[in-house]
Amino acid sequence: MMFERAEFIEDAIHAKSSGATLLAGGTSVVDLMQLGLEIPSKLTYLETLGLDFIEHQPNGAMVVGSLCHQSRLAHDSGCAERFPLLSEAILSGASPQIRNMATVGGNLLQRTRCSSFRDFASPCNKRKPGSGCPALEAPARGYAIFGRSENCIATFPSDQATALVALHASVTVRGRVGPRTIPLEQFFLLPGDTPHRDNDLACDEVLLSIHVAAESANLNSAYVKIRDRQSYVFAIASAAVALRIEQGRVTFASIVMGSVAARPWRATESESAILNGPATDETFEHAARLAIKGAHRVPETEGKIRLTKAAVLEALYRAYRGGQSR
Amino acid sequence: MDLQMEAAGMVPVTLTINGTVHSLEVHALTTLLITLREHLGLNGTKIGCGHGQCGACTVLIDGQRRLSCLTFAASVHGKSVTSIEGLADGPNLHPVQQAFLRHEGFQCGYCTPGQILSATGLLRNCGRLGREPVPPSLGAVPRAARPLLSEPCGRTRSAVAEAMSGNICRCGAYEQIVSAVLEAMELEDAHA
Ligand SMILES: Cc1cc2nc3c(=O)[nH]c(=O)nc-3n(C[C@H](O)[C@H](O)[C@H](O)COP(=O)(O)OP(=O)(O)OC[C@H]3O[C@@H](n4cnc5c(N)ncnc54)[C@H](O)[C@@H]3O)c2cc1C
Ligand code: SF4
Repeated sequence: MMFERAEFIEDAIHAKSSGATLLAGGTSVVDLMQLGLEIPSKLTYLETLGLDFIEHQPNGAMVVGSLCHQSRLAHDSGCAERFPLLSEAILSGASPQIRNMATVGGNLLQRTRCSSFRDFASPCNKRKPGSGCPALEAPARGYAIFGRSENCIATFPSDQATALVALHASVTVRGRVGPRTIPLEQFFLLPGDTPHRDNDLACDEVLLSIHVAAESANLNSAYVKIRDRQSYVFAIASAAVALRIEQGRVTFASIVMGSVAARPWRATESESAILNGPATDETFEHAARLAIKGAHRVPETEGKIRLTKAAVLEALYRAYRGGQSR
Repeated sequence: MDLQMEAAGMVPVTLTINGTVHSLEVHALTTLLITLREHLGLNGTKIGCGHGQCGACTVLIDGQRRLSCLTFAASVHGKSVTSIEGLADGPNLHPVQQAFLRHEGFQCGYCTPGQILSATGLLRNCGRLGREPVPPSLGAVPRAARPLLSEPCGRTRSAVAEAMSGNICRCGAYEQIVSAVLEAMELEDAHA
Protein backbone atom coordinates (compact mmCIF):
# COMPACT_ATOMS: atom_id res chain seq x y z
CA MET A 1 0.00 0.00 0.00
CA MET A 2 1.54 3.26 -1.11
CA PHE A 3 0.52 6.88 -0.84
CA GLU A 4 1.91 9.33 -3.34
CA ARG A 5 1.22 12.94 -4.19
CA ALA A 6 1.02 13.54 -7.94
CA GLU A 7 2.98 16.59 -9.04
CA PHE A 8 2.49 16.35 -12.78
CA ILE A 9 -0.48 15.22 -14.84
CA GLU A 10 1.74 12.49 -16.30
CA ASP A 11 2.19 11.09 -12.77
CA ALA A 12 -1.58 10.84 -12.35
CA ILE A 13 -2.04 9.23 -15.79
CA HIS A 14 0.71 6.75 -15.05
CA ALA A 15 -0.72 5.99 -11.60
CA LYS A 16 -4.22 5.47 -12.92
CA SER A 17 -3.00 3.22 -15.78
CA SER A 18 -1.19 1.06 -13.25
CA GLY A 19 -4.29 0.57 -11.13
CA ALA A 20 -3.86 3.24 -8.44
CA THR A 21 -6.94 4.82 -6.86
CA LEU A 22 -6.99 8.56 -7.50
CA LEU A 23 -7.91 10.72 -4.54
CA ALA A 24 -9.24 14.26 -4.96
CA GLY A 25 -11.38 15.66 -2.11
CA GLY A 26 -12.05 12.10 -0.97
CA THR A 27 -15.70 12.66 -0.03
CA SER A 28 -16.89 9.93 -2.37
CA VAL A 29 -13.93 7.59 -2.65
CA VAL A 30 -12.94 7.54 1.06
CA ASP A 31 -16.56 6.75 1.90
CA LEU A 32 -16.45 3.81 -0.53
CA MET A 33 -13.23 2.62 1.12
CA GLN A 34 -14.91 2.81 4.54
CA LEU A 35 -17.71 0.65 3.12
CA GLY A 36 -15.16 -1.84 1.79
CA LEU A 37 -16.28 -1.23 -1.80
CA GLU A 38 -13.02 0.33 -2.96
CA ILE A 39 -9.86 -1.44 -1.88
CA PRO A 40 -6.87 0.57 -3.04
CA SER A 41 -3.52 -1.04 -3.80
CA LYS A 42 -2.03 2.42 -4.13
CA LEU A 43 -3.41 5.89 -3.46
CA THR A 44 -2.47 8.83 -5.63
CA TYR A 45 -3.39 12.22 -4.23
CA LEU A 46 -4.33 14.77 -6.89
CA GLU A 47 -4.71 18.08 -5.06
CA THR A 48 -0.96 18.65 -5.43
CA LEU A 49 -1.40 18.89 -9.24
CA GLY A 50 -2.28 22.58 -9.15
CA LEU A 51 -5.39 22.03 -11.27
CA ASP A 52 -7.49 24.22 -8.98
CA PHE A 53 -7.84 27.27 -11.22
CA ILE A 54 -10.93 29.24 -12.23
CA GLU A 55 -10.26 31.09 -15.44
CA HIS A 56 -12.63 33.66 -16.92
CA GLN A 57 -11.42 34.00 -20.48
CA PRO A 58 -11.51 37.31 -22.39
CA ASN A 59 -14.16 35.87 -24.75
CA GLY A 60 -16.46 35.24 -21.75
CA ALA A 61 -16.00 31.50 -21.41
CA MET A 62 -15.14 29.94 -18.04
CA VAL A 63 -12.66 27.12 -17.60
CA VAL A 64 -12.47 25.40 -14.23
CA GLY A 65 -9.69 23.03 -13.16
CA SER A 66 -10.98 19.64 -12.06
CA LEU A 67 -9.37 20.02 -8.62
CA CYS A 68 -11.07 23.34 -7.80
CA HIS A 69 -13.18 22.98 -4.66
CA GLN A 70 -16.92 23.25 -5.12
CA SER A 71 -17.27 25.99 -2.50
CA ARG A 72 -14.67 28.16 -4.21
CA LEU A 73 -16.36 27.87 -7.60
CA ALA A 74 -19.85 28.46 -6.19
CA HIS A 75 -18.72 31.65 -4.41
CA ASP A 76 -16.42 32.89 -7.18
CA SER A 77 -18.00 36.21 -8.13
CA GLY A 78 -17.49 35.61 -11.87
CA CYS A 79 -19.29 32.27 -11.66
CA ALA A 80 -22.02 33.52 -9.34
CA GLU A 81 -22.73 36.57 -11.53
CA ARG A 82 -22.45 35.05 -14.99
CA PHE A 83 -23.37 31.40 -14.43
CA PRO A 84 -25.67 31.66 -11.40
CA LEU A 85 -27.34 28.34 -12.28
CA LEU A 86 -24.08 26.55 -11.52
CA SER A 87 -23.49 28.33 -8.19
CA GLU A 88 -27.09 27.71 -7.16
CA ALA A 89 -26.91 24.00 -8.00
CA ILE A 90 -23.58 23.49 -6.22
CA LEU A 91 -24.83 25.27 -3.09
CA SER A 92 -27.91 23.03 -3.00
CA GLY A 93 -25.67 19.97 -2.68
CA ALA A 94 -24.19 18.23 0.36
CA SER A 95 -23.05 20.55 3.20
CA PRO A 96 -20.63 23.49 3.59
CA GLN A 97 -17.98 21.15 5.02
CA ILE A 98 -18.32 18.70 2.13
CA ARG A 99 -18.30 21.51 -0.47
CA ASN A 100 -15.04 22.78 1.06
CA MET A 101 -13.51 19.35 0.41
CA ALA A 102 -15.27 18.14 -2.73
CA THR A 103 -13.72 19.02 -6.04
CA VAL A 104 -15.61 20.01 -9.18
CA GLY A 105 -14.08 17.05 -11.04
CA GLY A 106 -14.68 14.54 -8.25
CA ASN A 107 -18.33 15.56 -8.14
CA LEU A 108 -18.78 14.53 -11.78
CA LEU A 109 -17.12 11.18 -11.06
CA GLN A 110 -18.95 10.28 -7.84
CA ARG A 111 -20.70 6.90 -7.84
CA THR A 112 -24.42 6.30 -7.51
CA ARG A 113 -26.04 6.38 -4.05
CA CYS A 114 -28.14 3.25 -4.85
CA SER A 115 -28.44 1.46 -1.50
CA SER A 116 -27.77 -2.01 -2.95
CA PHE A 117 -24.65 -0.68 -4.67
CA ARG A 118 -23.46 0.59 -1.29
CA ASP A 119 -24.28 -2.67 0.50
CA PHE A 120 -21.38 -5.06 0.12
CA ALA A 121 -23.59 -8.07 0.95
CA SER A 122 -26.02 -7.32 -1.85
CA PRO A 123 -25.65 -8.33 -5.50
CA CYS A 124 -25.27 -5.40 -7.87
CA ASN A 125 -24.48 -5.37 -11.59
CA LYS A 126 -22.78 -2.03 -11.35
CA ARG A 127 -20.41 -3.20 -8.63
CA LYS A 128 -20.08 -6.80 -9.82
CA PRO A 129 -21.27 -7.26 -13.41
CA GLY A 130 -23.52 -10.29 -13.83
CA SER A 131 -24.38 -10.60 -10.14
CA GLY A 132 -27.90 -9.23 -10.59
CA CYS A 133 -29.84 -6.12 -9.67
CA PRO A 134 -32.13 -6.31 -6.62
CA ALA A 135 -33.47 -2.83 -7.40
CA LEU A 136 -35.32 -4.16 -10.44
CA GLU A 137 -37.48 -6.27 -8.11
CA ALA A 138 -38.12 -3.46 -5.66
CA PRO A 139 -39.39 -0.42 -7.52
CA ALA A 140 -38.91 2.78 -5.57
CA ARG A 141 -38.74 6.50 -6.15
CA GLY A 142 -34.96 6.52 -5.78
CA TYR A 143 -34.49 4.80 -9.12
CA ALA A 144 -34.32 5.97 -12.71
CA ILE A 145 -37.47 6.85 -14.59
CA PHE A 146 -35.56 7.43 -17.83
CA GLY A 147 -32.81 5.55 -19.66
CA ARG A 148 -33.22 2.37 -17.61
CA SER A 149 -31.79 -0.96 -18.68
CA GLU A 150 -32.54 -4.50 -17.58
CA ASN A 151 -29.15 -4.48 -15.85
CA CYS A 152 -29.27 -1.32 -13.77
CA ILE A 153 -31.70 1.45 -12.90
CA ALA A 154 -29.47 3.59 -10.68
CA THR A 155 -29.53 7.37 -10.90
CA PHE A 156 -26.62 9.77 -11.01
CA PRO A 157 -27.04 12.14 -8.07
CA SER A 158 -24.94 15.22 -8.92
CA ASP A 159 -26.64 18.62 -8.73
CA GLN A 160 -23.60 20.32 -10.25
CA ALA A 161 -23.67 18.01 -13.30
CA THR A 162 -27.35 18.77 -13.93
CA ALA A 163 -26.60 22.50 -14.06
CA LEU A 164 -23.47 22.01 -16.18
CA VAL A 165 -25.38 19.95 -18.75
CA ALA A 166 -28.01 22.69 -18.88
CA LEU A 167 -25.17 25.16 -19.57
CA HIS A 168 -23.90 22.91 -22.41
CA ALA A 169 -20.56 22.40 -20.64
CA SER A 170 -17.82 20.10 -21.86
CA VAL A 171 -14.97 18.31 -20.11
CA THR A 172 -11.36 17.85 -21.15
CA VAL A 173 -9.70 14.60 -20.16
CA ARG A 174 -6.21 13.33 -20.80
CA GLY A 175 -4.76 9.85 -21.06
CA ARG A 176 -1.64 8.32 -22.58
CA VAL A 177 -2.60 9.31 -26.12
CA GLY A 178 -3.33 12.93 -25.29
CA PRO A 179 -6.24 15.16 -24.41
CA ARG A 180 -9.79 15.04 -25.75
CA THR A 181 -12.85 17.17 -25.10
CA ILE A 182 -16.32 15.68 -24.70
CA PRO A 183 -19.70 17.40 -24.28
CA LEU A 184 -20.62 16.67 -20.67
CA GLU A 185 -24.01 15.25 -21.62
CA GLN A 186 -22.31 12.53 -23.67
CA PHE A 187 -19.63 11.95 -21.05
CA PHE A 188 -22.13 10.12 -18.80
CA LEU A 189 -23.15 6.67 -20.02
CA LEU A 190 -26.51 4.97 -19.76
CA PRO A 191 -26.31 1.52 -18.14
CA GLY A 192 -27.26 -0.56 -21.22
CA ASP A 193 -25.18 -3.73 -21.16
CA THR A 194 -22.30 -2.06 -19.35
CA PRO A 195 -23.79 -1.00 -16.01
CA HIS A 196 -20.33 -0.95 -14.39
CA ARG A 197 -19.32 2.02 -16.55
CA ASP A 198 -20.66 5.36 -15.30
CA ASN A 199 -18.86 7.56 -17.77
CA ASP A 200 -16.60 7.73 -20.76
CA LEU A 201 -13.33 8.15 -18.82
CA ALA A 202 -10.88 5.47 -19.98
CA CYS A 203 -8.77 3.52 -17.49
CA ASP A 204 -5.73 5.69 -18.19
CA GLU A 205 -7.57 9.02 -18.31
CA VAL A 206 -7.61 11.88 -15.84
CA LEU A 207 -10.19 14.65 -15.81
CA LEU A 208 -8.44 17.98 -16.38
CA SER A 209 -11.01 20.74 -16.70
CA ILE A 210 -14.58 21.80 -17.27
CA HIS A 211 -15.42 24.36 -19.94
CA VAL A 212 -18.53 26.53 -19.99
CA ALA A 213 -18.96 28.57 -23.18
CA ALA A 214 -19.62 32.33 -23.25
CA GLU A 215 -23.03 31.69 -24.88
CA SER A 216 -24.18 30.11 -21.62
CA ALA A 217 -23.41 33.24 -19.59
CA ASN A 218 -26.00 35.69 -18.28
CA LEU A 219 -29.05 33.51 -18.92
CA ASN A 220 -32.21 33.62 -16.82
CA SER A 221 -31.91 30.48 -14.79
CA ALA A 222 -33.09 28.45 -11.82
CA TYR A 223 -32.21 25.20 -10.10
CA VAL A 224 -35.04 23.50 -8.23
CA LYS A 225 -34.19 20.54 -6.02
CA ILE A 226 -36.91 18.46 -4.42
CA ARG A 227 -35.79 16.48 -1.38
CA ASP A 228 -36.87 15.03 1.94
CA ARG A 229 -35.45 17.85 4.03
CA GLN A 230 -34.38 21.36 3.22
CA SER A 231 -30.64 20.80 3.21
CA TYR A 232 -27.79 18.23 3.34
CA VAL A 233 -29.54 15.52 1.36
CA PHE A 234 -29.59 14.24 -2.19
CA ALA A 235 -32.42 15.13 -4.58
CA ILE A 236 -35.46 12.98 -5.23
CA ALA A 237 -35.68 14.94 -8.47
CA SER A 238 -34.33 18.25 -9.65
CA ALA A 239 -34.55 20.58 -12.62
CA ALA A 240 -32.06 23.03 -14.09
CA VAL A 241 -33.54 25.58 -16.46
CA ALA A 242 -31.73 28.29 -18.43
CA LEU A 243 -33.63 30.66 -20.71
CA ARG A 244 -32.89 33.69 -22.82
CA ILE A 245 -35.88 35.96 -23.07
CA GLU A 246 -35.95 38.68 -25.70
CA GLN A 247 -38.97 40.97 -25.92
CA GLY A 248 -41.13 38.47 -24.11
CA ARG A 249 -40.12 35.59 -26.35
CA VAL A 250 -37.96 32.62 -25.43
CA THR A 251 -34.95 32.63 -27.77
CA PHE A 252 -32.91 30.00 -25.94
CA ALA A 253 -34.11 27.20 -23.69
CA SER A 254 -32.26 24.52 -21.83
CA ILE A 255 -34.19 22.16 -19.54
CA VAL A 256 -32.38 19.34 -17.76
CA MET A 257 -33.63 17.02 -15.01
CA GLY A 258 -31.43 15.52 -12.29
CA SER A 259 -31.60 12.26 -10.28
CA VAL A 260 -34.01 10.73 -12.80
CA ALA A 261 -31.51 8.71 -14.88
CA ALA A 262 -27.91 7.56 -14.98
CA ARG A 263 -27.08 10.97 -16.42
CA PRO A 264 -28.61 14.44 -16.30
CA TRP A 265 -31.65 14.05 -18.55
CA ARG A 266 -32.35 16.72 -21.14
CA ALA A 267 -36.01 17.45 -21.86
CA THR A 268 -35.53 18.12 -25.57
CA GLU A 269 -39.21 18.18 -26.47
CA SER A 270 -39.92 20.65 -23.68
CA GLU A 271 -37.14 22.90 -24.95
CA SER A 272 -38.58 22.88 -28.50
CA ALA A 273 -42.07 23.50 -27.16
CA ILE A 274 -41.18 26.84 -25.60
CA LEU A 275 -38.56 28.00 -28.05
CA ASN A 276 -39.48 31.05 -30.15
CA GLY A 277 -42.81 31.38 -28.46
CA PRO A 278 -44.17 33.75 -25.85
CA ALA A 279 -43.75 32.54 -22.28
CA THR A 280 -47.24 31.81 -20.95
CA ASP A 281 -48.70 29.62 -18.21
CA GLU A 282 -49.99 27.29 -20.93
CA THR A 283 -46.64 26.85 -22.71
CA PHE A 284 -44.84 26.25 -19.40
CA GLU A 285 -47.44 23.69 -18.28
CA HIS A 286 -47.22 22.00 -21.68
CA ALA A 287 -43.38 21.93 -21.48
CA ALA A 288 -43.47 20.41 -17.98
CA ARG A 289 -45.91 17.73 -19.16
CA LEU A 290 -43.64 16.90 -22.11
CA ALA A 291 -40.65 16.62 -19.74
CA ILE A 292 -42.09 13.51 -18.09
CA LYS A 293 -43.34 11.94 -21.31
CA GLY A 294 -41.96 8.41 -21.59
CA ALA A 295 -41.08 8.15 -17.90
CA HIS A 296 -41.18 4.62 -16.44
CA ARG A 297 -44.61 4.42 -14.82
CA VAL A 298 -45.43 1.99 -12.04
CA PRO A 299 -47.32 2.89 -8.85
CA GLU A 300 -44.04 3.36 -6.95
CA THR A 301 -42.71 5.93 -9.44
CA GLU A 302 -45.92 7.97 -9.80
CA GLY A 303 -44.89 10.27 -6.95
CA LYS A 304 -41.43 10.82 -8.35
CA ILE A 305 -42.85 11.59 -11.80
CA ARG A 306 -45.18 14.19 -10.28
CA LEU A 307 -42.33 15.75 -8.32
CA THR A 308 -40.13 15.84 -11.42
CA LYS A 309 -42.83 17.66 -13.35
CA ALA A 310 -43.30 20.07 -10.44
CA ALA A 311 -39.55 20.76 -10.35
CA VAL A 312 -39.47 21.55 -14.08
CA LEU A 313 -42.50 23.83 -13.85
CA GLU A 314 -41.17 25.69 -10.82
CA ALA A 315 -37.72 26.08 -12.43
CA LEU A 316 -39.31 27.45 -15.62
CA TYR A 317 -41.26 30.06 -13.66
CA ARG A 318 -38.33 31.01 -11.44
CA ALA A 319 -35.98 31.31 -14.39
CA TYR A 320 -38.49 33.41 -16.32
CA ARG A 321 -39.30 35.69 -13.41
CA GLY A 322 -35.68 36.21 -12.35
CA GLY A 323 -35.82 34.04 -9.25
CA GLN A 324 -39.47 34.65 -8.29
CA SER A 325 -41.84 31.72 -7.91
CA ARG A 326 -45.21 31.56 -9.58
CA MET B 1 10.65 7.30 2.00
CA ASP B 2 11.97 4.38 4.04
CA LEU B 3 11.29 1.20 2.00
CA GLN B 4 10.13 -0.88 4.96
CA MET B 5 7.80 1.86 6.04
CA GLU B 6 6.43 2.14 2.54
CA ALA B 7 5.80 -1.61 2.29
CA ALA B 8 3.74 -1.46 5.48
CA GLY B 9 1.74 1.42 4.02
CA MET B 10 3.11 3.93 6.52
CA VAL B 11 3.52 7.56 5.50
CA PRO B 12 5.47 10.28 7.31
CA VAL B 13 3.18 13.23 7.97
CA THR B 14 3.79 16.63 9.50
CA LEU B 15 0.76 18.46 10.83
CA THR B 16 0.38 21.63 12.84
CA ILE B 17 -2.33 20.77 15.32
CA ASN B 18 -3.70 23.56 17.47
CA GLY B 19 -0.46 25.46 16.89
CA THR B 20 1.95 22.62 17.72
CA VAL B 21 3.92 20.85 14.99
CA HIS B 22 3.63 17.05 15.09
CA SER B 23 5.69 14.67 12.97
CA LEU B 24 3.97 11.31 12.78
CA GLU B 25 4.02 8.06 10.89
CA VAL B 26 0.53 7.01 9.97
CA HIS B 27 -0.94 4.35 7.72
CA ALA B 28 -1.95 5.75 4.32
CA LEU B 29 -5.58 4.86 5.09
CA THR B 30 -5.69 6.43 8.56
CA THR B 31 -8.18 9.24 8.72
CA LEU B 32 -7.45 12.55 10.37
CA LEU B 33 -10.24 11.71 12.84
CA ILE B 34 -8.44 8.56 14.03
CA THR B 35 -5.09 10.35 14.00
CA LEU B 36 -6.42 13.05 16.32
CA ARG B 37 -8.17 10.67 18.69
CA GLU B 38 -5.90 7.65 18.77
CA HIS B 39 -2.45 8.93 17.87
CA LEU B 40 -2.63 12.26 19.64
CA GLY B 41 -5.17 11.60 22.39
CA LEU B 42 -7.33 14.51 21.27
CA ASN B 43 -10.73 12.96 21.90
CA GLY B 44 -12.73 16.16 21.58
CA THR B 45 -13.35 15.45 17.89
CA LYS B 46 -16.24 13.01 17.84
CA ILE B 47 -16.89 9.91 15.75
CA GLY B 48 -20.39 10.12 14.35
CA CYS B 49 -21.52 8.30 11.22
CA GLY B 50 -18.09 7.90 9.61
CA HIS B 51 -19.59 8.64 6.17
CA GLY B 52 -19.80 12.42 6.00
CA GLN B 53 -23.49 12.42 6.85
CA CYS B 54 -23.54 14.10 10.28
CA GLY B 55 -20.75 16.67 10.75
CA ALA B 56 -19.75 15.52 14.27
CA CYS B 57 -16.11 15.18 13.20
CA THR B 58 -15.80 18.72 11.79
CA VAL B 59 -12.40 20.37 12.28
CA LEU B 60 -10.75 23.40 10.67
CA ILE B 61 -8.07 22.65 8.08
CA ASP B 62 -6.14 25.79 7.14
CA GLY B 63 -9.07 27.73 8.59
CA GLN B 64 -11.78 25.94 6.58
CA ARG B 65 -14.35 23.62 8.09
CA ARG B 66 -13.99 20.07 6.83
CA LEU B 67 -14.86 16.53 7.86
CA SER B 68 -12.04 14.61 9.51
CA CYS B 69 -13.75 11.22 8.92
CA LEU B 70 -13.38 11.52 5.14
CA THR B 71 -9.89 13.05 5.23
CA PHE B 72 -6.77 10.92 5.26
CA ALA B 73 -4.09 12.35 7.54
CA ALA B 74 -1.57 11.83 4.74
CA SER B 75 -3.52 14.12 2.45
CA VAL B 76 -3.30 17.10 4.83
CA HIS B 77 0.48 16.84 5.25
CA GLY B 78 1.94 20.28 5.92
CA LYS B 79 -1.42 21.84 6.82
CA SER B 80 -2.71 23.30 10.01
CA VAL B 81 -5.57 21.68 11.89
CA THR B 82 -7.72 23.20 14.62
CA SER B 83 -9.73 20.86 16.79
CA ILE B 84 -12.02 21.77 19.67
CA GLU B 85 -9.07 21.51 22.11
CA GLY B 86 -7.39 24.41 20.30
CA LEU B 87 -10.15 26.99 20.36
CA ALA B 88 -9.99 28.46 23.84
CA ASP B 89 -7.28 30.97 24.72
CA GLY B 90 -6.05 29.54 28.03
CA PRO B 91 -8.92 29.83 30.49
CA ASN B 92 -10.85 32.13 28.14
CA LEU B 93 -13.33 30.28 26.01
CA HIS B 94 -13.62 31.22 22.33
CA PRO B 95 -16.53 33.64 21.66
CA VAL B 96 -18.40 30.88 19.80
CA GLN B 97 -18.01 28.54 22.81
CA GLN B 98 -19.28 31.31 25.08
CA ALA B 99 -22.28 31.91 22.82
CA PHE B 100 -23.13 28.18 22.85
CA LEU B 101 -23.01 28.21 26.66
CA ARG B 102 -25.15 31.34 26.93
CA HIS B 103 -27.82 29.94 24.60
CA GLU B 104 -27.54 26.33 25.74
CA GLY B 105 -26.82 25.29 22.17
CA PHE B 106 -26.69 21.60 23.10
CA GLN B 107 -28.36 18.88 25.10
CA CYS B 108 -26.30 15.68 25.23
CA GLY B 109 -23.27 17.55 23.85
CA TYR B 110 -22.02 14.87 21.47
CA CYS B 111 -22.35 16.96 18.31
CA THR B 112 -21.19 20.14 20.07
CA PRO B 113 -17.46 20.13 19.17
CA GLY B 114 -18.41 19.71 15.50
CA GLN B 115 -21.10 22.39 15.75
CA ILE B 116 -18.70 24.85 17.37
CA LEU B 117 -15.89 24.22 14.89
CA SER B 118 -18.39 24.51 12.03
CA ALA B 119 -19.66 27.85 13.39
CA THR B 120 -16.08 29.07 13.91
CA GLY B 121 -15.18 28.17 10.31
CA LEU B 122 -18.29 29.96 9.10
CA LEU B 123 -17.43 33.07 11.13
CA ARG B 124 -13.91 33.16 9.72
CA ASN B 125 -15.04 32.87 6.14
CA CYS B 126 -18.40 34.59 5.95
CA GLY B 127 -17.00 38.12 5.88
CA ARG B 128 -18.03 41.01 8.07
CA LEU B 129 -21.46 42.46 7.51
CA GLY B 130 -21.47 44.78 4.53
CA ARG B 131 -17.93 44.05 3.47
CA GLU B 132 -17.69 40.56 2.11
CA PRO B 133 -14.24 39.75 0.71
CA VAL B 134 -14.83 39.83 -3.04
CA PRO B 135 -12.69 37.42 -5.04
CA PRO B 136 -11.40 38.81 -8.35
CA SER B 137 -13.77 37.81 -11.11
CA LEU B 138 -11.76 38.13 -14.30
CA GLY B 139 -8.59 36.30 -15.21
CA ALA B 140 -7.09 33.23 -13.54
CA VAL B 141 -6.62 33.80 -9.84
CA PRO B 142 -2.92 33.49 -9.01
CA ARG B 143 -2.38 30.79 -6.38
CA ALA B 144 -0.58 32.99 -3.87
CA ALA B 145 -2.95 35.94 -4.11
CA ARG B 146 -6.08 33.94 -3.40
CA PRO B 147 -8.38 35.51 -0.84
CA LEU B 148 -9.57 33.51 2.13
CA LEU B 149 -12.57 31.50 1.03
CA SER B 150 -15.71 33.54 1.14
CA GLU B 151 -18.90 31.92 2.43
CA PRO B 152 -21.34 34.83 2.34
CA CYS B 153 -23.99 34.41 5.02
CA GLY B 154 -26.79 36.79 5.90
CA ARG B 155 -27.51 37.59 9.53
CA THR B 156 -30.92 35.94 9.54
CA ARG B 157 -32.06 32.77 11.27
CA SER B 158 -32.80 31.02 7.99
CA ALA B 159 -29.41 31.92 6.45
CA VAL B 160 -27.59 30.74 9.59
CA ALA B 161 -29.65 27.52 9.70
CA GLU B 162 -28.65 26.77 6.10
CA ALA B 163 -24.99 27.66 6.76
CA MET B 164 -25.01 25.31 9.78
CA SER B 165 -26.93 22.53 8.00
CA GLY B 166 -23.84 20.32 7.73
CA ASN B 167 -24.13 19.46 11.44
CA ILE B 168 -26.89 17.17 12.62
CA CYS B 169 -28.07 17.40 16.25
CA ARG B 170 -30.05 14.34 17.31
CA CYS B 171 -31.33 16.16 20.41
CA GLY B 172 -32.77 18.83 18.17
CA ALA B 173 -31.13 21.85 19.80
CA TYR B 174 -31.21 23.65 16.46
CA GLU B 175 -33.09 26.76 17.61
CA GLN B 176 -30.55 27.42 20.38
CA ILE B 177 -27.63 26.63 18.06
CA VAL B 178 -28.88 29.15 15.50
CA SER B 179 -29.31 31.76 18.26
CA ALA B 180 -25.76 31.15 19.49
CA VAL B 181 -24.20 31.39 16.03
CA LEU B 182 -26.23 34.47 15.14
CA GLU B 183 -25.14 36.17 18.35
CA ALA B 184 -21.48 35.29 17.76
CA MET B 185 -21.74 36.74 14.25
CA GLU B 186 -23.40 39.93 15.45
CA LEU B 187 -20.79 40.37 18.17
CA GLU B 188 -18.05 40.04 15.59
CA ASP B 189 -19.82 42.49 13.26
CA ALA B 190 -20.06 44.99 16.14
CA HIS B 191 -16.32 44.74 16.77
CA ALA B 192 -15.38 44.92 13.09
C1 LIG C 1 -23.19 13.04 3.00
C2 LIG C 1 -23.00 13.45 1.58
C3 LIG C 1 -23.98 14.20 0.94
C4 LIG C 1 -23.82 14.58 -0.37
N1 LIG C 1 -24.80 15.30 -0.98
C5 LIG C 1 -24.67 15.64 -2.27
C6 LIG C 1 -25.69 16.38 -2.95
O1 LIG C 1 -26.71 16.73 -2.37
N2 LIG C 1 -25.50 16.69 -4.25
C7 LIG C 1 -24.36 16.32 -4.93
O2 LIG C 1 -24.24 16.64 -6.11
N3 LIG C 1 -23.39 15.63 -4.33
C8 LIG C 1 -23.52 15.30 -3.02
N4 LIG C 1 -22.53 14.58 -2.41
C9 LIG C 1 -21.44 14.06 -3.21
C10 LIG C 1 -20.21 14.93 -3.16
O3 LIG C 1 -20.50 16.16 -3.76
C11 LIG C 1 -19.13 14.17 -3.89
O4 LIG C 1 -18.74 13.11 -3.05
C12 LIG C 1 -17.93 15.02 -4.22
O5 LIG C 1 -18.26 16.05 -5.08
C13 LIG C 1 -16.84 14.19 -4.82
O6 LIG C 1 -15.71 15.00 -5.04
P1 LIG C 1 -14.30 14.63 -4.38
O7 LIG C 1 -13.32 15.63 -4.85
O8 LIG C 1 -14.44 14.48 -2.92
O9 LIG C 1 -14.05 13.25 -5.10
P2 LIG C 1 -13.25 11.96 -4.64
O10 LIG C 1 -14.05 11.22 -3.65
O11 LIG C 1 -11.85 12.30 -4.28
O12 LIG C 1 -13.23 11.19 -6.01
C14 LIG C 1 -14.40 10.69 -6.64
C15 LIG C 1 -13.98 9.77 -7.79
O13 LIG C 1 -13.41 10.51 -8.84
C16 LIG C 1 -12.07 10.11 -9.11
N5 LIG C 1 -11.36 11.35 -9.43
C17 LIG C 1 -11.41 12.51 -8.73
N6 LIG C 1 -10.77 13.49 -9.40
C18 LIG C 1 -10.33 12.95 -10.56
C19 LIG C 1 -9.65 13.48 -11.70
N7 LIG C 1 -9.27 14.76 -11.77
N8 LIG C 1 -9.37 12.63 -12.73
C20 LIG C 1 -9.74 11.33 -12.66
N9 LIG C 1 -10.40 10.78 -11.63
C21 LIG C 1 -10.69 11.58 -10.58
C22 LIG C 1 -11.62 9.38 -7.88
O14 LIG C 1 -10.65 8.41 -8.18
C23 LIG C 1 -12.92 8.75 -7.40
O15 LIG C 1 -13.18 7.59 -8.12
C24 LIG C 1 -22.65 14.21 -1.07
C25 LIG C 1 -21.65 13.48 -0.43
C26 LIG C 1 -21.81 13.09 0.88
C27 LIG C 1 -20.73 12.31 1.54
S1 SF4 D 1 -29.73 -0.28 -9.73
FE1 SF4 D 1 -27.64 -0.48 -10.53
S2 SF4 D 1 -26.40 0.19 -8.83
FE2 SF4 D 1 -28.41 -0.35 -7.94
S3 SF4 D 1 -28.31 -2.54 -7.43
FE3 SF4 D 1 -29.07 -2.43 -9.50
S4 SF4 D 1 -27.21 -2.66 -10.72
FE4 SF4 D 1 -26.54 -2.06 -8.68
